Amino acid sequence: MGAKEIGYNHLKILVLLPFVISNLATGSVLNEGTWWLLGTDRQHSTHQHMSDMAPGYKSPQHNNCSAVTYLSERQKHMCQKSDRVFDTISSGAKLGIEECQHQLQSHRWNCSVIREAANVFGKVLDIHTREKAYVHAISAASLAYQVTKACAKGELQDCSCDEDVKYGGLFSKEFADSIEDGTSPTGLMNLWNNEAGRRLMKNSMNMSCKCHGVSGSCTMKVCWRVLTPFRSIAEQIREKFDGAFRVKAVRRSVNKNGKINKLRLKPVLREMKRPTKKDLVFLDDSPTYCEKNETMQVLGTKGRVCNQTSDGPSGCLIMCCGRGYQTMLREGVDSCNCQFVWCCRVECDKCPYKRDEHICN
Amino acid sequence: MAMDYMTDEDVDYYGDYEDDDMLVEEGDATYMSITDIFKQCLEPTLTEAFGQVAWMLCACLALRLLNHHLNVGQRVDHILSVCLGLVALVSVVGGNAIFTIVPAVMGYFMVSTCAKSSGILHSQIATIVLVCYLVVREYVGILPESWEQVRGIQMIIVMKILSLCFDMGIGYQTTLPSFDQYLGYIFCPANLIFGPWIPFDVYCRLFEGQTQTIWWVLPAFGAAVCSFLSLGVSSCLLYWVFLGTQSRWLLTFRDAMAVRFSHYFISYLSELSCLLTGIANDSVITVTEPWRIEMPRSLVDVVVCWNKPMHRWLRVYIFRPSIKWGTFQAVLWTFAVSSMLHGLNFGLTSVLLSLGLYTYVEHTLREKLATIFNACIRSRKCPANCSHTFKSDNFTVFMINVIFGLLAIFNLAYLGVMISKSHIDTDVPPTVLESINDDLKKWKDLNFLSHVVMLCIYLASLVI
Repeated sequence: MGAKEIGYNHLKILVLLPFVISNLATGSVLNEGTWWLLGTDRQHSTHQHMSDMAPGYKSPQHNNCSAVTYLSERQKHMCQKSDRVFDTISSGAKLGIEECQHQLQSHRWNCSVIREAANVFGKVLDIHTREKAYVHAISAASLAYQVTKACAKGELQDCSCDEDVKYGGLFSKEFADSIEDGTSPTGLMNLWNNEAGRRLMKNSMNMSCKCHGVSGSCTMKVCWRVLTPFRSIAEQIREKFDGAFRVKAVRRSVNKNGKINKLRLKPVLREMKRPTKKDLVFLDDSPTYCEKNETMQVLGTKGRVCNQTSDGPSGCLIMCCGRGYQTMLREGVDSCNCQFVWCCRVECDKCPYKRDEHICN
Repeated sequence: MAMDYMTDEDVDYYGDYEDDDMLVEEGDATYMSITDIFKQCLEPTLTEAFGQVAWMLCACLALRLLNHHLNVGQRVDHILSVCLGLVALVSVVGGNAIFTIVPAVMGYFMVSTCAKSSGILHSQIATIVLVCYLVVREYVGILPESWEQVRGIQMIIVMKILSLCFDMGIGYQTTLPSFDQYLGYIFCPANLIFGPWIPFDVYCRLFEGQTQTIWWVLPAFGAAVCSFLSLGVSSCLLYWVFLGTQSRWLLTFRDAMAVRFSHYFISYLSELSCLLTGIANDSVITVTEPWRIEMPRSLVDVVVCWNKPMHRWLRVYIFRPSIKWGTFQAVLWTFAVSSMLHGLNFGLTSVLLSLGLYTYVEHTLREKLATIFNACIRSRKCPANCSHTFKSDNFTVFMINVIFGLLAIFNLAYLGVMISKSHIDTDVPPTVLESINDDLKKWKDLNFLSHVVMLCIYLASLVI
């Protein structure tokens, strides 16, 4: 490096120093990030800090919302609408991350959370892959689901009980879609996948209705909402993930009305089927996720547990990327032969076990 | 060649949520816990049902209070009744109320023609005209959903018109009621929406200044409790009790029981509306007796106790005037009128036909057995001074009645499942043939067992 570069580096350090010091002093205040961070433990560090400031001071909810620096203005405004909104959004983010990890646990990339990453999952989401599509879809769906559930319980003031699914969808749309740029290819892709997640969620929520009236007529119709467990919705989204559509962004020069038209997503191959609003779309092919990659923050599959008998993605052939595996002997004690004893406890025996566990190289 | 685009730019990218809204009739509740059922089902069901009928009940109460505390002329009373009835009607069915107003008003012309002639010929003609109108409306014209909502109301209105016609033809009602009296009778909030049918003189007595003590609230409260309890059982508790059941016959029993408890809900609700308005005549407004249907003595008992006002109406205004054509013809005519009042839709008609046949078979068999064994095992309960040797305190007699009761329960489950709706599909309403097919499938799945059993019993009764 020349003297000039060294000089620039020193200048950069001098300029950034106050920010660094202030960051260190106030704890891990994150300026960059997405609302998914609300579902991780790191959120609690800012909470901790607020309560350290003035012991015994119960901060009102809007302080929580405004303390979260990585939310956009619109998101903060929505967050501050009422007391329970912040908790609902956090639980929505948490549910999304948990379900993502559960559904992809047998895949090479298992939705792992990177501690230092601003967008929770690491720079791997900078590539617009199927996995990114899945993460967006499931987070939009989980947010809509938690908002719907809170609305059905009557915890949110803005919504009515029979419009809970609609309210949940609209809330999720406003919250998650407002930070996306509809004129860029990646923004379009994210918007599409968010919408797909919401539609799949909305599809699964069933209304159970009964007619009452004289001699079986339908003078009165009484309906109640059956809240399907989120796991089944997450499974449906994962099925769409398996069949996600590869698209590219095109812009037509002039359209039939003569107006300047917007960017559109189209399948890469001409004979490919058009994806519906419920399908997931992605722009780039996925990397193999096999090897550890620091720049992309991919953990790789070394050390992952694989299933020797399976032929699918969790099988040792695919999971370990051909590197082979080591077989470990795991010993432990399990609870077995559990019986209910009157009254009112469950007594279990202790069964020691020795199991084989296969770890990828 | 034009390239297809993912999104149509004339359509909003962020589509609306109105499409693919499938309403499923009975939710799959196999994964819900008990507290879930209570919170997710009972609470919203009861509150929503109450919300839908709250205005109607207020209208009834308002009529009572205004009637007692305002000393205005009878004309104003009737106009008040009409107005409050319309308020109640619009609050429950909304815009579909328009379909009831026109026939109700036109019915007055029928009533006036019946008044001008003596005898019941005009009333019989009026009967035919009105029930045909109901059948035509069921299949032609307006959306099936709208008609479904007002079908019950139309039925009550037709019953009221015809009862007035017959009363004047027989001579029970001497003068033609004035238009406001007639309208007040038709649109009385007490029984416009859920019934029960009351005769014209009972309605008039409402405004004749009877004194009532404050204790009228007690039976009203009792009716309210019974009705919402039945709603809870029908909508939620039955599904909790039969959670996870896969057996076809148990599911049939559950669905039929849900239908019956829905009927009790409506019946007690109609009793409540009458009591709130001030009609407290027990023999007139007791609509149903659930214990006599759930633990039946016989199917005949069930038919009588299912809807007592309607049973009385059929007996007085349809059966008796047509007995001169012969008993069997009168029964057939009664059954035809009853099913046409319900719009002659396949499900209800087949149930009513089956019920007619079953009651006939049961009645003949039990009569024969009662005379052979000289015991009190007839379809209806014997009077206290009957001439049988073995009365109801005999254990064998009791057991035989229990067995017949179990047979009735079995038949009720089989018939009731035909009335329960399997799903409400808002996308494409099924055609007439498709819905007939769907309905027949319910009985086909059960192998027409009940019909087979009753056929065997009929053949056995021929032999005895």
